[in-house]
Amino acid sequence: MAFTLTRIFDRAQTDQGSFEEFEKLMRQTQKQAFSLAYRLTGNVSEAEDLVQDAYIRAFRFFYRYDRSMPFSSWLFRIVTNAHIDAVRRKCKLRTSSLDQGGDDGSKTIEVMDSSALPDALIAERDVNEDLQKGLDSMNQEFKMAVILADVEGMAYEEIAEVMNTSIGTVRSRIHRGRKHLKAHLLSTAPALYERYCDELL
Amino acid sequence: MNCFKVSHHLSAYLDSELTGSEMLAIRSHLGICPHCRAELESLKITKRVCAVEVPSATPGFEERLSEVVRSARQNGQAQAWQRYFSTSLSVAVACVIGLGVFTSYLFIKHTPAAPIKPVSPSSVAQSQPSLSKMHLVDNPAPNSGSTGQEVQQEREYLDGADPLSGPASAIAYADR
Ligand SMILES: [Zn+2]
Repeated sequence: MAFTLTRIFDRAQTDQGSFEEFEKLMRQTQKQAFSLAYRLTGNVSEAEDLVQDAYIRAFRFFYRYDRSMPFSSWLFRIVTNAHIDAVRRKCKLRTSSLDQGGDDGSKTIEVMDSSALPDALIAERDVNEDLQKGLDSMNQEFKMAVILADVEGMAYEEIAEVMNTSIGTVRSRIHRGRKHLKAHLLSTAPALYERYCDELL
Repeated sequence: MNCFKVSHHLSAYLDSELTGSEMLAIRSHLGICPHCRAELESLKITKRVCAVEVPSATPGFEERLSEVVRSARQNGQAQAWQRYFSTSLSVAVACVIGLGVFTSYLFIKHTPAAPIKPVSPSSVAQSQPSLSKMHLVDNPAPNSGSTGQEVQQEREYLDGADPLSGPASAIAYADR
């Protein structure tokens, strides 16, 4: 009994130490985690839920975290897995709501009234919307690889770690994902492409 | 390198994720091929569009997040203590039950089958000098009211119990 109690107190002390470490890592990574979650979900409130869910999972399994891996890579793996779970849950719910779409099966997308916004903000919002639609039209694996590379700026090796796959697969997913996104943007928002093209020249 | 091979490596080239020799081979191809150069430019734009800043989280999100993780931690700790106390309680209850069963086992073991005779202190002194004997003196069998058959049935039940299933049967076996 005394032995068990001592162990519980020892563990509580270790818990205190690892909690402080976790909080510090959380502060360092939450902005990046939010960007990733936002690009994965395409919506602020869903992104916040996803980040919250991921950090709770991360904290619960923090004792399993291997310090030889950057915390962000470990966390992003949790974020992407939590996102896949959420998408699966949503797919089940969506089957019923799809019947309420247009005659051609299309969904109605809510569009904000842009008349009150300054030009720069409108432009930024448009880019975000077009990009998000492009990302959402992609296969999940390509989408994740592209987001990790281009939103998070991760190296292929780190992406391979997050996605639990080989560097060759990452290379191929990024390339195919970017090509898909490029085709999507060129067909849906050619003006955006031209603008960025001018900026690059 | 031909266009087909180069086009497959353009994203990795853009991200500088190729070996030195591969980078050089692609660079020299790009110098002579406008088609691959155009393809590279379009990938560059795609990459740039992706890097557009995301909207901010709602005000107070950081604090809410810390709060949620902190309360998840407190819930975890509370659950650990709850588990500890419920385990201790179960062990204590099992011990009490075990002691009860052990006592009744000793009581049954040394109760003579019918006909029941009153036990005199001198006859007890002649039988085995054990702890069980003292116990019998304190709890005379005649008052129990059980018949010889009932005692036999109860004994069979105890004998058939799994020795590893709990403290009660383990003690019963150890006594034999
Ligand atoms: Zn070429």
